[in-house]
Amino acid sequence: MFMFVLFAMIDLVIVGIFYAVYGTKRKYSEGMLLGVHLPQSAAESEEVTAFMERYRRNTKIFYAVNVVISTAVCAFCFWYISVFMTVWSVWLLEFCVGAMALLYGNHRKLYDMKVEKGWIGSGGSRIMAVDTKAAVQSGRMGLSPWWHLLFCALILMPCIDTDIRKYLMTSDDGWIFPVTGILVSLTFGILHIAILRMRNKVYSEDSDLNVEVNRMQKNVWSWALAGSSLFNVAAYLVVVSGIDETGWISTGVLVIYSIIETIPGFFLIGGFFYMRSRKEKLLQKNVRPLYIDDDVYWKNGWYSNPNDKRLMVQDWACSWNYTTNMAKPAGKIFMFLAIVFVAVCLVWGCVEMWKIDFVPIEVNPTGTQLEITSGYSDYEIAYDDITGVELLDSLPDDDYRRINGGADQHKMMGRFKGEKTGKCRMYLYVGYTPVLEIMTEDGPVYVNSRDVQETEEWMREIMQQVQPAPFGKTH
Amino acid sequence: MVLKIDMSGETPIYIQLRNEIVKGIGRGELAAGENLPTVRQLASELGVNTMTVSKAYQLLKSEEFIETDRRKGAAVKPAQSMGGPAAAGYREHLEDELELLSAEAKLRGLKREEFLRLCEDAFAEMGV
Repeated sequence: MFMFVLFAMIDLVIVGIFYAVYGTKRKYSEGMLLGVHLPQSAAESEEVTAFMERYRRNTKIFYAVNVVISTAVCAFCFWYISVFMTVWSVWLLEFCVGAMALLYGNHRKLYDMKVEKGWIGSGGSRIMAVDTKAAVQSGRMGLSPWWHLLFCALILMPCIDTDIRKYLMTSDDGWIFPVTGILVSLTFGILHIAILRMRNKVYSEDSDLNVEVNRMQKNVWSWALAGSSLFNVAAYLVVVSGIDETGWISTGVLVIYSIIETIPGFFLIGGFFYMRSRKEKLLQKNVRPLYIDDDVYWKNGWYSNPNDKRLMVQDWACSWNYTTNMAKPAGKIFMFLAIVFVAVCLVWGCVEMWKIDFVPIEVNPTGTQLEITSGYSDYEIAYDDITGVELLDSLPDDDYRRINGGADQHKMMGRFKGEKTGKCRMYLYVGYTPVLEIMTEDGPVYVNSRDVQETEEWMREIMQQVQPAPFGKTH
Repeated sequence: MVLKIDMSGETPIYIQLRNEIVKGIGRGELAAGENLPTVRQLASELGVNTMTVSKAYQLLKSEEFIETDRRKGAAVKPAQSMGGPAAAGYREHLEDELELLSAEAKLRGLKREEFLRLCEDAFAEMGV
């Protein structure tokens, strides 16, 4: 049920963000309608109004249908996760392609209408414009990205403490939190630098207004990113302060960590909407608007300008996004590789999950070692490393936390950490007994089969390979 | 000041840049002493090579419209400092250009009064 609710919420957020960013571009603003430069008279004409009304209706239908489909897809959570993830990935693909096709298709239709009707040049149409005043002040806009280095230093600061340093160096998974924290802060820092280097946009013949709008955008973004980085550090410090003497992090601390780590999301989304409303207010003062009509380079929805040496340009549909200049071979290669990368990740992820769900757990004693094979990973244990074998009626009662692998209502597979047990490995079908416990110096390994006799057979086979003295207890 | 460059035009970009900056100074949109963007900054904003902007700045410097400083960057020269060696041959250059423009205007069918009015309007835009 938790997975259903979680993914239903995630789907709603995805659809909501897509709708807010791509589905609401229906107002005439900055001399544009749906990303196409038009004179206001043309934007208010009967033909365009009817076209926009059709677009509005189709958009609402598309997003409403996708809310229903995405919720229905979540029902697969109650079955196998791999099946759910595969169906969910297909839905996500359909949704992304559909949303883009809807937007780009209508953008192109409106562009064709503009060319057909000769609605060109809504105001001093030029290809490129630069405001010298905004460009000069560019370096003085926004908060310095160096703050992110300070935040990374704060993440490293707890290492001064001997106990924490020892925990980080000796624990198998201790590095995950600091490395994740540093990577997240560095990512925010890189985004911060990219935004400060972003080309200043020219909205008006009035330089002061251009400076004001561009400064406001860079200030909002840089503060939002610095704030996000700060909360990322705070989340890490909460975790570090919550580690007990045994290296255990309580569930309460992890919940607080998760809550603090979601705050950057609110910062960024809040920053986006605040910036958009501030920009609208500022541009209401624009008495000498300047519109750069570069629609010919955007007519298919993507950017293709052979005269522009830039590889990445700000997207017309969402100022957050950057897109590649498809007139450049590097732009085409980058886009192709990005699509291939996403496709491979999705397919690989689904295949791995199918393997976890449907490849059976096997225990194969060989001459020198014991091989445990499963859909997630294989594990070999030399007989000399086995310190005990036992058949248990159930998995020892403990609070187990998954480090890697997968765990759901069907199986527990991969590396785990128990509050009392410590680090361990599991290759288990949930709800099936007995459980074979193989003790090693690296912690216990728990294995079982859906077939009771098979588990008992594994026990017997292992017993034959190892010294009988300390072993042989069965329940 | 807003510089407008036609990237697909026949006039080289560095000439367009030079012309736009001179017009800006003439119209008073770029005040004496006002800083211009650095070569790198302007190139990045326009999406052109730094060499293109550098060439335009060198031209403007040789014509004594701007001055460059390693630390402060490029800035508009005060009007009184624009009367150096570059200004000496300007009258001859202007006469040459006007002759060409007059010839073209005549061939395109413009009347003398119309041509003079256009000259007057363009000069009036410079605030004089």
